[in-house]
Amino acid sequence: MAEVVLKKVSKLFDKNIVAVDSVNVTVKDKEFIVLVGPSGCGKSTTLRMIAGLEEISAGEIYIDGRLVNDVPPKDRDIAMVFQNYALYPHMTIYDNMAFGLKLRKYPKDKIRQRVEETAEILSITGLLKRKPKVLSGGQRQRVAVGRAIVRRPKVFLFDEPLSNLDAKLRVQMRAEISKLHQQLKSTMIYVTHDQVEAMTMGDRIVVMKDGKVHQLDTPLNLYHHPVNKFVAGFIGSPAMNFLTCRVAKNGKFKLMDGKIEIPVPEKYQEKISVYVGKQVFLGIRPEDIYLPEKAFGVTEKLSLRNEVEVVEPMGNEVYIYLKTGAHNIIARLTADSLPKSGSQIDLIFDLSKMHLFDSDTENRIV
Amino acid sequence: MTKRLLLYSALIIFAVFFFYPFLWMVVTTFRPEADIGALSILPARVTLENYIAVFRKIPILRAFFNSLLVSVSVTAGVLAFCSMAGYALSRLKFRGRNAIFFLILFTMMLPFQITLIPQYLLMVKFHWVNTYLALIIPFTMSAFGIILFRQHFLTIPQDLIDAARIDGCSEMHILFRILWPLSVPTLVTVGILTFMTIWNDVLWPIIVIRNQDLMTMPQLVTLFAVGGRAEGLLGLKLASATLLALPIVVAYSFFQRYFIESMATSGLKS
Repeated sequence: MAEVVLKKVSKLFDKNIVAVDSVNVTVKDKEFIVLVGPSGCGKSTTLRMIAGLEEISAGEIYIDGRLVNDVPPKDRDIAMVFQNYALYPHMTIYDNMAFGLKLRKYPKDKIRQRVEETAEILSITGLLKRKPKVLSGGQRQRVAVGRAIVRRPKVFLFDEPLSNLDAKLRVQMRAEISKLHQQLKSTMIYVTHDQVEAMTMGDRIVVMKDGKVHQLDTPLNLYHHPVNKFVAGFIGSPAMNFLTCRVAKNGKFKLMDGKIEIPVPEKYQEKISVYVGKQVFLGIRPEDIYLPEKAFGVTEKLSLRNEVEVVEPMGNEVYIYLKTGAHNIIARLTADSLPKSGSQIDLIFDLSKMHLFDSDTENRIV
Repeated sequence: MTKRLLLYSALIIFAVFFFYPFLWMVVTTFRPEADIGALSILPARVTLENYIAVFRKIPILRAFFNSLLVSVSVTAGVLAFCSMAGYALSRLKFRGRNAIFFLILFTMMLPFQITLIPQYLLMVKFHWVNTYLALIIPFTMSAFGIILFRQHFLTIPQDLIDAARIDGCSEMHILFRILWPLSVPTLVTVGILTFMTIWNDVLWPIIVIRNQDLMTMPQLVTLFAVGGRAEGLLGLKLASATLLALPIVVAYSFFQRYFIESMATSGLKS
């Protein structure tokens, strides 16, 4: 069992710059967990602390039940795949993969067997005699993964391993790493800034910002029930739209955005009652906005007239950038909807899917 | 075309200007003493008597061995120790790291002559005068080498070092098994410059070595040429100077490419 536990782990640089702030995460055995967040959120630092490459300022890290705070990286039984692959340029692919085993004094025949088996899994057998510089980005990536799995460690750490690949290869490698996880059944911790990678690969996702964990949940829970405005805006592409509104009461509770009156669905009435007179953020995902003729079955709705600023046809769908009052909004419509830039169109907002966030704390209200 | 012709003509003139004295020296060593005044390149009579006399009068082969031993030992020491220091200063985190680096930089500003006497006194205290240790140990660390290694190691991605650490490398393993193979140009640069400096050094050996059997080649040749043992015979002096230059010329012909690269890398005139 290779559970990784982080208890109140913090990292301070230069004694006062907080990179990681009291992080509590438990990565279950055989789980694929993704740390995601914008640049500088502390996700890579957290991973490097798990690897032992960065000292911990406070807190405790356990790998497989053992406190590893003062254990050097080589004795933590982990392997890591780096963003720029970090293959040894002067060694052949075989030697790159065998290096860790050689240092651990494995017998030669055992090393050969392990390397060949791993190369087989990753379809890199033909590359074993080559040097890294003659390999393509995708091949180097495979070798880097191979170097990690050849040691059969308890925990795999991935530090943005797909960032240097082109979009197509990234999608392919994403699936391969997921497949590998199912095959190896090991604990994997994966760092990325790409929320699509996080959503598609992780059993659970840790969303971080400013060194803090904002939410740790399954991908779908993050998407449908973000705990705050940051998570709501970070997860999902295109990002969630936010409108700043004031809560008013005129018989029922409703939201006022300038002159626009937005009805609040019945189920949210009670929760919103304490916010009368205050500002809140209304969040609505681009796919919850429809053209009137496509808004089948939308019961709680708001119809607004918008000015189309930019149209981005993606082939299977269209992103429309709109100006609604003082707000800029993105709608994700079906591919057959191609309004002209500069035109005025009516759109239906599905209010039953609305998210509301406190304007002070940015925490979720509903 | 005319421009190129002019350029090449100028280059040839300069080349002759630089090369002629050296060629004349070499040719003159094969002339009998009576013919030495001639400025022509082709000798009228050829003789080996100058070389035979040099070999008879001074232990030049022994001095050659001494020079080789000292230069190789110092070069090996500089490569090992300076790369260790360069690695520590570039990649290990410890208090006062930058202060130490600047202190090392500062030592480069000091002319050797300033530390000459304290260093000699140290040799006396250690009882190293008249031993190989006096020729080797004080030079196995050089600020120049440390700085060059440090700057080079800073260009190597940290991820590579981290990967090695996770693979199970100790710091020494990282240095010698990962960084060294990636630092061949720097190793060659520091190696060549150190070897040349030590090989050509005269002042320090003259101060710490009096036993003729321990003398380095430049020391022995200098003492021979200017110390009166050549008996004022120019042919003998030139023959000993040619023998002194020979290993460097041979080494240069082998490492010419690296030598030019090293000059370009270090940005130093030697």
